[in-house]
Amino acid sequence: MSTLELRQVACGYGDLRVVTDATLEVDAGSVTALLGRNGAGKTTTLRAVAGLNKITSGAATLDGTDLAALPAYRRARAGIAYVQEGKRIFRSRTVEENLLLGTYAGRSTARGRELTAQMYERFPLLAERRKLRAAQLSGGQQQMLAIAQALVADPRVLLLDEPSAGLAPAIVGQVLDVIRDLRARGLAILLVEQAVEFALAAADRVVVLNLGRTVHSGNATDTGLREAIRRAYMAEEIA
Amino acid sequence: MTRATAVRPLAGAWIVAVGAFAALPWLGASGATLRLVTLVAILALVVSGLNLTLGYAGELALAQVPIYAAGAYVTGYLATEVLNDLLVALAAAVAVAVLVGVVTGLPGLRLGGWTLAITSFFVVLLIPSIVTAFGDRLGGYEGMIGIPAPAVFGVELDGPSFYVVVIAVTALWFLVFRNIAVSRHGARLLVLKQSPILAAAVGTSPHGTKLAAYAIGAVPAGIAGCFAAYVDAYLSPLTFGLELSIIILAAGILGGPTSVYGALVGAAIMQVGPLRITFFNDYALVAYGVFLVVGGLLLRNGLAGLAQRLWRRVRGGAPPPAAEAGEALVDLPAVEGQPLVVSGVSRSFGGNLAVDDVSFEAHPGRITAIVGPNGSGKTTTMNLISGYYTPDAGTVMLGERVISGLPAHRVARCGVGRTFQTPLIPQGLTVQDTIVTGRLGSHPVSLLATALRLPRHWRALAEERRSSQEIMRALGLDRHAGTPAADLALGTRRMLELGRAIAGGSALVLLDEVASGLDEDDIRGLVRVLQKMRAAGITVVLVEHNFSLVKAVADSVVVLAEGRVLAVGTPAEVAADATVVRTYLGEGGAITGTQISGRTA
Amino acid sequence: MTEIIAGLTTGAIYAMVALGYNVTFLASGVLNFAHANLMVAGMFVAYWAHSIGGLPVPVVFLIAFVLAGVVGLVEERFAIRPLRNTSGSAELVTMIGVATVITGVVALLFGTDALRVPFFGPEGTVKVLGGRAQPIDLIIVGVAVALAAGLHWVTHRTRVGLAALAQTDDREAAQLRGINVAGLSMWGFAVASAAGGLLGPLLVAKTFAATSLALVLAVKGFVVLVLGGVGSHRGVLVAALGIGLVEAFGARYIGPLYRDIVVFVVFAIVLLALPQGLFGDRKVRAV
Repeated sequence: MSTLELRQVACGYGDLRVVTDATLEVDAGSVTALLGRNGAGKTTTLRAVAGLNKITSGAATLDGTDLAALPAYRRARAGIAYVQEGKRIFRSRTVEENLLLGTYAGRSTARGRELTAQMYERFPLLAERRKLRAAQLSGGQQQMLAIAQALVADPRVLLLDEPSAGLAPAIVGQVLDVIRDLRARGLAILLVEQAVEFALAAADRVVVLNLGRTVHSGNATDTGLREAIRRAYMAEEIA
Repeated sequence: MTRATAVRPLAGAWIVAVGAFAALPWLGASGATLRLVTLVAILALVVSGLNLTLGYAGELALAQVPIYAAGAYVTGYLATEVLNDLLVALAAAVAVAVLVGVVTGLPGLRLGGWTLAITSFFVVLLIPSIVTAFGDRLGGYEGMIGIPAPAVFGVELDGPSFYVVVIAVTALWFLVFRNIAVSRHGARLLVLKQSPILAAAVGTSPHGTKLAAYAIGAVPAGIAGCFAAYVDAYLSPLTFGLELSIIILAAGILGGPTSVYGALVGAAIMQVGPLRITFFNDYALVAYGVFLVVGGLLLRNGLAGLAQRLWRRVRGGAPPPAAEAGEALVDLPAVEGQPLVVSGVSRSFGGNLAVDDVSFEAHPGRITAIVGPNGSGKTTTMNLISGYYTPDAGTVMLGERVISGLPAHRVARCGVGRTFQTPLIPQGLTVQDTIVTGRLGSHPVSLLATALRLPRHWRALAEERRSSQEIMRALGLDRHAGTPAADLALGTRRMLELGRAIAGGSALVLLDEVASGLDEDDIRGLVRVLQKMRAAGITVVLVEHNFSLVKAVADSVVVLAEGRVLAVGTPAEVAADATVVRTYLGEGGAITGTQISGRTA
Repeated sequence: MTEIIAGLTTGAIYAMVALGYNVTFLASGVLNFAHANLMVAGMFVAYWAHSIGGLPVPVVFLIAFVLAGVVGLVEERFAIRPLRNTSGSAELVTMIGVATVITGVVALLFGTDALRVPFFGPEGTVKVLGGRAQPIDLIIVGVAVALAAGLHWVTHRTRVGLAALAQTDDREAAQLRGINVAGLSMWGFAVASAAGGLLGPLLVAKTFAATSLALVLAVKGFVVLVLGGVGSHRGVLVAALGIGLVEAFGARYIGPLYRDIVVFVVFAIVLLALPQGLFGDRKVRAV
């Protein structure tokens, strides 16, 4: 059984159904990349897993437990950490406060403190700036803070939405390192990315969405993968 | 949905409705009914002013009651002490109302949101003090009594005649209101509501537009005040209290603030409903409160919003017209781009030098890309060119003109268009209307010409339609022309921002991270459009992270690092420059990630 | 000195209203328009339970506390929460509706005339630094200062305080960090409303119980809120006491008629110099 499983999940905003069939799984210690054109429903799927959108049909499970009944904050406490697109940190709070807030979803204060210390070690720039407001950080530092904030909760599943967007290439390399490292530590990572090469460099498994449906699912090393991605990205409509 | 560029036949229903109401006295309506309709008209006038400033311009200027009171007291004073003439009183009431509207709105030039709301709302509490300060002339605390019946040129109007005047003037005002709302001026207010930064980018002064909104919003309140003085022949400072402010606000929100006729509906509900319920007696206040709670819950975005949603559902089935073939074949009309010369520009923020002695040039019919790592000063440079910041040193020249030092809206009027990292698309405009807003500063049409639909308005409208059509066709947006712009997908919104930037005359177009968040298909479309812009002779400056896009389109590249120009050259030259590669891509060059993971793992 | 104490007392009352706004703003992102009405309802509880019913003082406070808290809870549940994910400013209308219902019920039960309720504590005058004051004045000022200090501590030194601050920054992101924003909002409303009700019986001896009081308190509360900076308890306290003093001295030296005009002028000047208020830095959701 995979850590996170989605079976024919349908979800959307209000009565608008954006996704009609998202099917994927993410194992512990692996990265699943969710690819697709703009508007394919990638972010909507992540939001539904995190509990920000309602799952209207299908099932999403975390270690076999159905998620549908849990509100977003309970899912966070159950071990799902969602790093949203656009560096959604608490901008008027300090770096330190942001990390402390991150531990709220964790199991214990002691564990949170330990993880926070680890994060400062890993991102020394954040340690130097711990008393600064998050809004004063550069774009790259904000992305690091967003990821660190999710990690101090000691999650089992990490949902990453466009972690490379708007970052200079040198920083993108660092983000990729972090993802690989987290994978090595046994996290189940679901990655949504616009930059296909970045996603393929990180992923073990690749799922392609088009018009709200899963149109391809396979290993990152599959020979037919690039063709499938190309088809999903190029095709105007798939009936 | 505002459809400024669409022709809408004057609704026959409107004429019939106005005629029917005006004829009520001869259809046997009772005095009580006429009075009720008059009160609805008066409240609707005041609410329509709120809709203009709050609903359209997004300004929380809530001084409608003081404005209304000013109109009423001016009328009362004139009628009792100077000259009893309805037309003179109307003119004077409107003039004083506009003055009060602008003065109470003035703090809004510096304050925003809640702060302006409370500042303007507070003025209500001052009415009794101000009235009393004028002494006996305004009747003081006890009120002003003995206002004569209205007269025109010495002829006294009887009840029914005055009633017809009220209906006619109210109908006329709503016609003018609609003409403003459904026009470039309505769009100008919606642009301001979206963002003052956007307002400046399309060449309209945010301060000027705010003041205009306060002034126009005060006009109907002044008219209403004039009528109110005559209706009761009595004015008391106590009638102009906080309760009335709240009724106005509630009527506006119930009717739907971003709508023209919502004001009439909201006012009718408030007057006919809770304010007149007599059979509830003691329970009137409770019933009114419950009504507000239930109304607020059911209506959400106001009755107008509800009607719009229903209308969309009824009409919803109609598929959008099929995409027109050959989008790529249509070119942009040629323009005269202006060369941009940035020389020695510096700017620091709080001692931190963000841009340090930057110089470069960009030429018409060429695409100049500015690249650099995060924090290298790209966006600051962009903002220095478009006038949001003033350089501490150095100059920016567009053609023969020095544009550094000009405010952003003046820069925009020189033909400088720009896009934003996060697209700024106002709510409530169609795609075509949004493109037309790009012309607001460079092709102004007076408010009067628009409000009265003078020939000047129709000529400008035809020109707006023609030029926006051309742009939409070249950008492949024509199939979306009538779609609500704010609902579009990111790629289409970015394309729309491009269209709006081009619409302003396009001597120079600045693009800020225009490819970010786009998928490969969108980017291919973007490249085609950029090439058309170059072919049309526009000077294009592109701030971009995506180096493959830069390689594909740029004629020259300016590399910034830590606020300084690191290198200038063709994409190939820059890509071959070892220093550039090191700064821009980091040690090791490509995205491999291995060398850093060795450190962090 | 006498003016100073009178001004500080008035200011302290405004501070109590504005601190109530602060609490619901921090906990749920909404300024509870009905807060002043709940305080006035608490005053009428005092009239009914104390003056008429003759109940012991602690019971009077308990009734006011529980009653207002329940009303706040119901308001959040039925007038605020259903509008959470909608655009527009419908919650402003529903809150005005709740405020009107509260005032309507009070007027139905007690009429609209101002009712006098004697102070439960010591009467008489005390000398303070050469001025005359009543014990109730000192108690009101003391309670306002303590309330602001307590709230400041809770907001900036506790877990729930940080959660509230995070929620005002980004409600959605707060949920993703495991913060129960719906619960926070509900309890924030309940606690703020209950505290507002609790203050009613204390203030009534100073203000009389009158339905018309609510709107004036609400507007003055908003004024000091904006002046002090939304969300800043310190700023609100300073602004409120300052406005109270301006009122007292304005009435004394310029004339009672011009009291509000003087307040307005000071208010406008301070805001034009400091658009975010004395201690504010956050953006409030505009209506």
